[in-house]
Order: sequence, then structure tokens, then C-alpha cells
Amino acid sequence: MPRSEDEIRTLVENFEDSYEDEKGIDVASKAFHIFWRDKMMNNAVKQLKELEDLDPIIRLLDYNGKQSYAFSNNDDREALRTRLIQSGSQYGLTYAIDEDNQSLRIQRIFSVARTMITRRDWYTIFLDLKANVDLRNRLERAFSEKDIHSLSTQLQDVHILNSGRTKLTPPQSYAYQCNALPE
Amino acid sequence: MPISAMLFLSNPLTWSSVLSLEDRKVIIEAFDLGQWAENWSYGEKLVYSNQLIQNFNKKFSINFHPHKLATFFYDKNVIPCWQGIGADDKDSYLIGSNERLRRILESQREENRANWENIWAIAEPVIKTIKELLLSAKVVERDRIESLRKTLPPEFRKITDFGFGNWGDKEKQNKLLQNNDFRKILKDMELVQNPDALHEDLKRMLKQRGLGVTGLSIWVSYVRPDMFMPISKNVLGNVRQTLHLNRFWGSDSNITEFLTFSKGLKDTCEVAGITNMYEAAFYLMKYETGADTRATPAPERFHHLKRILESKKQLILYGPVGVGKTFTAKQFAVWFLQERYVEPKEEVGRSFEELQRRGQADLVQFHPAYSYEEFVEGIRPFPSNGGVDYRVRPGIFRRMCEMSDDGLSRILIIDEINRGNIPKIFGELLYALEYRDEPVKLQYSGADRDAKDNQRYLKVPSNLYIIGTMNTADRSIALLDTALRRRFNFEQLMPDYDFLATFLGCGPKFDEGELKRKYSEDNRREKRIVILSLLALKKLNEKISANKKLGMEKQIGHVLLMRLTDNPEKNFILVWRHDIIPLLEEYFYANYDELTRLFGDQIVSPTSGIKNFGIDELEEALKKLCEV
Repeated sequence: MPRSEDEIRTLVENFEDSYEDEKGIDVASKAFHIFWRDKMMNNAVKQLKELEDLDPIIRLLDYNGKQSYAFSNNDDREALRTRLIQSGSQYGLTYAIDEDNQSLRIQRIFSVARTMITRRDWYTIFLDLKANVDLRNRLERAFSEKDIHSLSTQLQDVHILNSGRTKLTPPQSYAYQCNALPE
Repeated sequence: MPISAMLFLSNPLTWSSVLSLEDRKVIIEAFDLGQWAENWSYGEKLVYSNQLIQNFNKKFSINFHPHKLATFFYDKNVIPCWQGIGADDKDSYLIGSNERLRRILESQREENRANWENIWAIAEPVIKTIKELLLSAKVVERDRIESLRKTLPPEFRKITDFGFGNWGDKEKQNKLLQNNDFRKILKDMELVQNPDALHEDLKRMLKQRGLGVTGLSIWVSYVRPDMFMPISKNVLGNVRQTLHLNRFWGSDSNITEFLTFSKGLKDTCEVAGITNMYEAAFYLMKYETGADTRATPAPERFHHLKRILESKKQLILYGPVGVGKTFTAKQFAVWFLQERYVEPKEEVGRSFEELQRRGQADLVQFHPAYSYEEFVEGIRPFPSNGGVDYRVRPGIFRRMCEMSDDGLSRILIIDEINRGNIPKIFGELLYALEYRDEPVKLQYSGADRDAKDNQRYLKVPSNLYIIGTMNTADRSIALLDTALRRRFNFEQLMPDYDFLATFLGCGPKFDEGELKRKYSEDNRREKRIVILSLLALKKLNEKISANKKLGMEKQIGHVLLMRLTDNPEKNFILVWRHDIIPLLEEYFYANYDELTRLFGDQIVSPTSGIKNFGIDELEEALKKLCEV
């Protein structure tokens, strides 16, 4: 039941005031660039660690990224707090951390989307990208491409290279998730 | 993979990223933002649709950057992402989920109606019996229901499959079935016109242990299939994301949502001409599993394979290139292990990759250099105190044999089994394949005096099954080692045109006359070339089979044409130019005269070989080949 253009216009105007993600995008983008350059494309980094390397980035990409980390005692808590703060600061992210029921919780800053894939899938994706030089090089080129026609070709190349690789590509049924593009 | 979220962070001000392709299409059409082209490649869809979405800014004289636009569409319910079917204020949304559901149901119905009618003919009396039991029997046992469910066609059974494990808990289920309150609600339900009247009763039922909305939906569907759809994992496992039914996710106790959903679903189904909610469930399951389900061979075939695998414990699937031998082996492995395991089934992987992760199956590919040392056991150097120590390291086969000591069934797939030197790779275990559970002394561990008996000897347990695949275009099975032939059962796979016709959306089976009629009547080129390829493949294989130099083992498998579902015009050329014709070139030992006779001199020159032809030339050549 389409709304009238006037109704849409009102919705747009109301939305202006409620959108609050403006500031977060820039910080998140810078963090992603650091991650991509220093961790993903840096061949000296052989293995990506979940908490230290990947969690901060997954949290930016996906609203459902891991926020809480359990600890068992005071020493453990402080060590965990330090690890979490450092995991963010290496990417230029400043975390505010709350304590809640034997766990530390990172206050939300910004997330691109609700991708509806599991965290385990995100880890798999990144570990796979790290291992697959060809695929990550192609993505690297796509990230810096400015010409839209070349970009479409490069994304198609990534798609072809990725097709049939079930570990990286979520199954068919994911192809229609909200807020995430297929494959 | 969610590439778009990463692309967004790489270049946030120019990249829209966070709208799904499906939603972009809907938005573009609803706001008339430009022309969405189905024949765009995936990359083009991503980029060009993004350009079109930007037109929304122009249309409403705003300047939202991509993330702001996407958030506007999703979070402000312009696209009702987080609401869904049957939401009370559904009409106030710009683009309702109900409309999307209707489109899915109608398209799936067009494709799968005949299939559904066959399944329902078998299922209906069983469902009626279950219903009578639930409503009238004094005592209903879970096992009685389960034995009835086993007589349902497998695809129907999936619809009513709990899938979450609680069905496996007999005690809980029996308790539920013997609960008078529960039975009374089911009886009341039989006559009720508006399910809202049962709201409080159902809510009370949900407090029963082991019963969530999913389980409840299955029970009530037995009694009122005209009103309730079973929300089993197989039906809505992922479709609920498509249909934005996230409210069921993690909120199994929400009966209001369930009733609202059921009413909305019923209304939408009526518009689509569907009155049986099982039918809707069937189409949604088809839609969800898409190519996966369509690509799965018929279960009847699996029952046949099961019989022959169980007789010798080892089986070889053989056939020409591209008939899906490895694919079938993997799919069958999943099905077979699911069949063999006692419930709860969720302990068995639902995909081959999951089986591998859980150690329930594995795959190894033989090649000429593959050896006993890799397959069974070999001696490997290990660093030790600054020097090197040599120890026996078990290979994949020994590991699987040892793991199978737990009595659970396992499957090892040996891909391209004929490319390895079988007697050399299996060694003394070739004997053990036949005499299962008898210990055989191993070549290396057997000679180690310090080793314990269970390390020196190996038994191939009777619960370890082996499936080999073999390409007969390389080598005929007649040339196989007789020792191997005796120990394996053999099953031939051939090009499956009926399956391919269904997969490509050209009808429920391969019907040459019907396909030729469709070809001449359909104006859409992308459809015409798919039909033509299908007809040409069949004709080509007939000619190959009749050719004395080639024979039926050199036929071209149907898998090669499956790529035509995606961007047919582009893949039409790719498949024929780079897959099929070069394969024939190899079979004919580059005798181009033969190829020219088949495809004409616009495609293959008798002197210089395969030409760089275009879509028009290829279409003409295939038309001549299959006499359209």
C-alpha cells in the first residue's frame, strides 16, 4: 500500500532529527582501514586472533557483534579490561566499558548493519580471507576502485571466485538477509 | 559473504551497502527510481542498483548519504524490516511483507504445484489419521505418531519436523500428549472460527516444558491445516529472515505474535489461491532451500543407494563428466547418516561440511601419487631433542577406522578413486574391506615390537562406509582391478534431463515436444537459450552414445548446464565455448571434422579448430543440432 509522496516527505523530515550515526561512521571507517592494512594485508601477521584482532571490526560491521566478555575473578577482570581497551585503541577506537554480572560490556559506538550471520561466520570469513591471497587482493582492489563500471567487474570477479566456496559463502538461504547483501 | 558491509566501511560516502539486493529492487520499483535489470551480473546489480537508490535523494530533494538512506528504509519501516506477515498495521507500510510473501508463494506454486499434489495425495490420509488420534484416542503415544510420520513422503515429513531436539525427548512428548488440557485445546480448535478465542489457552500450553511456538505450531497444524502452518526449522529456518519474522526468533513464548502471523499468512495465502497451510509450508521450504533442494537427487534414489551400500559397505558411483557424482555422494552421505542415527538427529551434521567438522564423514581425493603412507599409515620425521625421531603417523583411513570404534556410522568418500593405484594405496586393507571387524596386521605398526596389539593391528569396522566416485570418461570400469570390483558395489549415474529441466525452470520433466513448443513461443532470449541448451545437450549425448569411438561413457553431464540459471546470456557462451565444446575436442583428439559436423563451420573450423563465435552463431548451430 504505497504512501503518498507527502507522507514520505514527512517521514524524511522526522528522520533528520533521529538519525544519530553520523559521527560514528568516520571513526569506524578509519578503524576498518587500519585493520585491513595492518592485519589483513600485512603478511607479517600470520594469524588473526578473535578478541584482539577481529572482534572490534566485527562489532563495527555488525550490530550483533560480541559486546560482553566474562571474567572469573578480579585479576582476570583487569587483564580482560586491558585487552579489550587495547583491542580497540590499536584501531583508533575508544571504548567505554561497563561491568555487569561477572562480565565486561563494551558500550555501543556504531555498527553498519544487522547482517544476520553468526559471529562464527564472521570469523570464518576473515580467516578465510586471510588465507586466500587472491580473494583478498581482489577485495583490496575493489575497496579502492572509484570507477563504478570497473567496480562492478571487480565485484563480479570476487563473486565468481567465491562462488561454490561454502565456508566463505553463506548458504543460499542467507541470500536475502536484511541489511546484508548476498555473498 | 556480507561483502557490502566491508565495502561500506572502506568507502562510506559513496557506497550504499546495507540494503539487501531484494530490498533494493523493491525500493527502486516502488519509487520508480530507474530500471532494474535482471540480466545484470551480480557485480552490476550491486553497483548499478546503488546508483539508482541515490535517485531517491533527487526525488525528495534531500541529501542522505548511503547509510542514512538505508537506515531510513529499514529502521523507519518504510520497508518493514522488523515487522512482518500479519502485523496489525500492515497496510500502513509502504511495502508490506505480505505482498512479498504472496509473490513467493505464487512463483513457487507455478513451479512446484504438480509435485505438491503428488505429495499431498500420500500425506493427506496420514495427517487425517494423526488428527483423529489426537482428537479421539484415549491414549496417544509419541511413538505411534512417529510411526505414522515415517509413512509421510520425506519432503512432507520435513515440513513437520521439529528439528530442535524436543521431539527426541520421548518422556516430555508423551507427557504433553497425555495432558488433558492440551488435548482439550486441540479439540476446541477443531471447531473454532477465530483462533484468537484460544489465545489464553495456547498461552497456558506454552508453559508446558518442552513446548515452544515451533512445537505448538506443528501440533495445531495437524488439527487445523487450514489455519496454522507448522513453523518448523525446515520451513522457516531462514525464510523468517526473508519475511522479517524475527519476532519468532528467540521469543518462542510469544503466542500473540504467532496468532497474528497465522492470520496474516492465511489472508495472504487466500489471495494466492492457497487454502492448505501445509501447501504454503511446502512452497516456502522450496523457496528457502532453492537450488540446494532442487539439486538434491530424488530420495527414492537414496533409498536404492542405501540398499546397495549396506550390502557390501562400499560403493562406487561412476559415470561421465558432470553428472554430479561427488555432489550426490556428499548429499547421500548426509541423508544416509541422518537416516541411520537414532534421534535426536541434530547430533548428525546437516551438511557434508558439518559432518566433516564433527568427524562423521570425510573426503579424500585419490591421484596417481597418492600412497598407502597417506591413506593408512606412514613413517614421518618428528623433531626430538634437537634431532629427528621417526614415528608412525596414521592416515585418514586408519583415523576413521579408529574413530568408528564408538559404534556410530561414518562415511569416507574417496573422490576419483580410479585415479589412484588402489592395491598399492589400500595394501593389506583390501582384504579387510571384505572381512570387516577382523584385525589385519599393519605394514609399519605391525613391525613395531614396542607397539601394543591394538596399534599393530587394524580392523575395518562394519559401521564405516566407503563411497568412491569414478569418472568413466577416463577409464572404463571394465578395466578395474578385479579385486576391487569384487569388493565394491557399483552404481551408474547418467545425465539427468528431468532434473535439469526442473532446475532450469523449464518444466517438471524433460519433454522434447513441449520444450520445442516453448522455445518457439517464448520471446525472451534468456529463456530461449536455456531451453535450446537443454534440448541440444540431449541431442548431443545421443550422438555421442551412438558414436563408436566415444560411447555413452563420454556423454556430457547435466551439471555443466546448471550455470545457466545465473545470467543465462553470458553463461550460454561460456558453457558451450569453454566447457562443452573443448571437452568434445579432447574426446575427438582434436579431430575438428567431427566437431564441425556436429556444430557447423560457424562454430568449429575443420582446419583451425574452435572459433570465437557469438551468441547468434551459437544459437543457430544448436538449433540445427536439435532440429528446432
